[in-house]
Amino acid sequence: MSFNNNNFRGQSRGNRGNFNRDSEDDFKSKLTSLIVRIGDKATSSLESNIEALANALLADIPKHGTLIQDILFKCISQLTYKAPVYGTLVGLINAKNFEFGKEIVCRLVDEILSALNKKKFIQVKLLIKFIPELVNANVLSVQSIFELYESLLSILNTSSYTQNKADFFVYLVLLTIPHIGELLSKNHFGQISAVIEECESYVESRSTSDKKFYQSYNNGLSDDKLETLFKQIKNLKNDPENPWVVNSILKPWKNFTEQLLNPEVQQHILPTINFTDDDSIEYPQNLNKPLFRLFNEDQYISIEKSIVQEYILDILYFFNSDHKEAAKFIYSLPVQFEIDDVVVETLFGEMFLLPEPTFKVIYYSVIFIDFFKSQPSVIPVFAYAINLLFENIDKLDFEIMDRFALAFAHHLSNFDYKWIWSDWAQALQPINPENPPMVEGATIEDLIKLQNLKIIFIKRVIQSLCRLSYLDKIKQNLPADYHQYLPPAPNPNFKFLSSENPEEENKELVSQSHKLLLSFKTKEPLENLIQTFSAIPSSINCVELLTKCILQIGSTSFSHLTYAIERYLTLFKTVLKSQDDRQECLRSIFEFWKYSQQHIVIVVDKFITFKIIYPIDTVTWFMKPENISRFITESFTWEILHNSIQKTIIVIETLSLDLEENQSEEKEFKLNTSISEQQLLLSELIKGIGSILSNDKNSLNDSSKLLIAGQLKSITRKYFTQIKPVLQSQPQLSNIINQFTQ
Amino acid sequence: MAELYTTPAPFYYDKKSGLTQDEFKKAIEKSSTIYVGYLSFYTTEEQLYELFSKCGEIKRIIMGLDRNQKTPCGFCFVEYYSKEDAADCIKYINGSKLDERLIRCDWDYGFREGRQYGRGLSGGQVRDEYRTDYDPGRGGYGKQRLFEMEQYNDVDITYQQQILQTMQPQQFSGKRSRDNDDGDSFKKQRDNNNNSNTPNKNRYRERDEENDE
Repeated sequence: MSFNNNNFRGQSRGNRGNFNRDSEDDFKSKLTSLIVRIGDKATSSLESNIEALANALLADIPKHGTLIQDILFKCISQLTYKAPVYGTLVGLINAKNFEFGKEIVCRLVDEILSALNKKKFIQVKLLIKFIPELVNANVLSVQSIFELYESLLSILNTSSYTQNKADFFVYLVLLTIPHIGELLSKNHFGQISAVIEECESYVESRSTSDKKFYQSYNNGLSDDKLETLFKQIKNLKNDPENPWVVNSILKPWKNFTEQLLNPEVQQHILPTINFTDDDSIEYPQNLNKPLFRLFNEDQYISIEKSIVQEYILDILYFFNSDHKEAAKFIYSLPVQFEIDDVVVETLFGEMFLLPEPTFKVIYYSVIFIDFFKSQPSVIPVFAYAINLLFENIDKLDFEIMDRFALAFAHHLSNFDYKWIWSDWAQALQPINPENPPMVEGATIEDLIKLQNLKIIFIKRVIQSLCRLSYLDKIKQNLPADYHQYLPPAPNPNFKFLSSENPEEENKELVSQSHKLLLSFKTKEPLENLIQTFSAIPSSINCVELLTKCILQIGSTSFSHLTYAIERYLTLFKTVLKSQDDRQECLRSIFEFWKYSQQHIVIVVDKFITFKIIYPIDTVTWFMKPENISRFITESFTWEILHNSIQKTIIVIETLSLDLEENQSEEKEFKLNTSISEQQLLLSELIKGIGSILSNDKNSLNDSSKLLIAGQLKSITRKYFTQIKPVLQSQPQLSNIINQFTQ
Repeated sequence: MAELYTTPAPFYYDKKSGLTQDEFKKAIEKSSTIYVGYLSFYTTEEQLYELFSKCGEIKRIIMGLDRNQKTPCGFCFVEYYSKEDAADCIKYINGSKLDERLIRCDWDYGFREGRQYGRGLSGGQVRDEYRTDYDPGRGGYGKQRLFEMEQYNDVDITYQQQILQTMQPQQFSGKRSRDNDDGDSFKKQRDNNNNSNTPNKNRYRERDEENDE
């Protein structure tokens, strides 16, 4: 923003004799601040503030009309709950300056279309919500709102539209209704009822078949955003006591009926908005995903909380660059009731959004931290939610369970690892089949399954805590019942150096490793080392020797590791010759770091980055029968597999960008090879998981199978774009996915 | 919209970067490197990976070292592959806790050889020279204060010194007591030498050896 002083500190702005520009800047920043902050604290003075601002602006409009419009539209399209405030403000100005009102109306249409073209859907939403407010402030005729509905709903009469597009347009219609329902119900009841009916027939006819695939928490409530909003609008209309009364939307215009409805005031007509038929626009995909619901169904009958939820989502979006300000803004919303439950539900809902949250999970996590400091009333609701999710952990999607565990651990790391651990200890006691705890409608198998999942969750939390801190610290902070779930101390396992007598056959390997480590230390030239390796007798496992020795000198820190790999990369390339060698390399990594899963994840990642091993090697490795039983249910296995897929995506992205810049056959060939490598990886992975799940030889228990199926679902969801072509060429893979993820 | 509500922090310019203000600004605009400060001396690269990878894939982490001791001295550089992830790191991780300390994250103009060393007189960071508080995660008192206290030991104990002594904790070891018997296994892992005042010595490779190839 230009009123922000971007000059370097210490540079006096007046020095250049630029007084005129300075006072202009000052004026601009003062004006901006006035317009931005109006309505911030909804007090009784709101109305007089609006009136004063309207009068002030009226005086400035002749000279600064465009500037005022610029600022107004910035505010209208970004400050979520203030549409009524700005509507009333424009109304008061319009009552004395019709021309300005007309300009605002015309510009509004341009702003909406331009935001839509830029795919700024949240801006579109807020700008559309401004239209009914202009009707309330008598700037627009009532007929304008019906024209808006007509142009929005006309999409339903076209032959081809995507569901996302139709969802979005119907959603926009429904969103405006609470702003203006009261007015319309008086003289236009038939018309508004017809609009609602049209929306209803759309909502009922649309397909919601893949909804289940995106449900993060399956507690029986599966309405998506559009369905929820529609039901709430209907309840609003049919409320026996107070139909159409919405308290969460400000109504400052009610105090100015005299000025606004003065017969001399000129109403404008909203120009027709020609929404584009541009099919390349991808509309928001979040309207047909089940909403995250923490509470009972009756909490969602009224629209009030949903409106507040929408405010919070907009604040999270527009204030993303400053989470502290976002937290502050959320708690200064002009709402009459306690919003803690809405806040907690909204933040978890965003955190648990599938396939991806809007922002990184850590954003929501730091906002919770802000609330813990500034809004203590959030704390009990947060604790309630955590306990509820823990008790119902079997209803969480597996990917979400993992996100939950990591976010919870991060949260605890900001609060000295304090938690009411003792409350959960009961859940860890073995279940006695003779005398199972009484839970209504649950079989003993259900209880065991639930308990297994709770333990998986707790292990994941503790593991992440230990990574963020260190083993002893976490041990001190956990009650003794939990110590069995602590990971081992993350020490390297370099058996060549251990004092125990090495096995007879290893003796030569040990002496070779000592020699190698020594030549690393003396910085022997690479050529000599290559020479040495070629002279090593074939009875010795060169791959193991090299991998473990490099890991040994790299075990002090990741910087040491990167350095060692960089330095001896050529050596790796000469020693590792085949796929079997690469598998041997992986085996050595897993053996060397068998006490630290974090190290395995990072070492494997580095080895793939340096192209010592390939992404597909990790799939081959984990699908080996002996590794299935050892690793397949461990979270780090899936971390590594996800990383491998991500790597192929990054490689393809880089290559395509490169190809776009300048074409060449060689580059095209490289790109195509990478794409087929990625497809091979994905098909091998899906096939592998399918055979694990349909094969009983691996003696996996029910919870493990559930977990693997959950991972399959997560991979399919996350990499759907990449998996789609694979499924087209190998339809049998679709069957695997369908069989295990329904 | 948050920019309409908060005044941005004044632009920071590092005179020792050897860049002009404009060059500096441009370097920051291109950079995907973050300077991380207020760390405990005992925080390890592994911990930094775990926290900072929450904002995206990390290219590398460079630990800040004491120029003389070659031990971590409470700062590091985190380089991301993408600029966007680095921006998120500033937004989210700055001001949050690691190892029970509030850490700070700032844009950095890019790591260069030599920058991993502290610029303070005693080899550590400048801020540890003049600090007057007792900070167990950063080697106890500030260097100046330590020096003054050593001087006092030779003369008669003054009133002031008595106060100082009562303020000073009994044992001059960090919160993470390295002499604790229970902590034996952890000691092996976290600390490769037995001197309780020099954390993680030898755990950190000196960068300058890269040049000798």
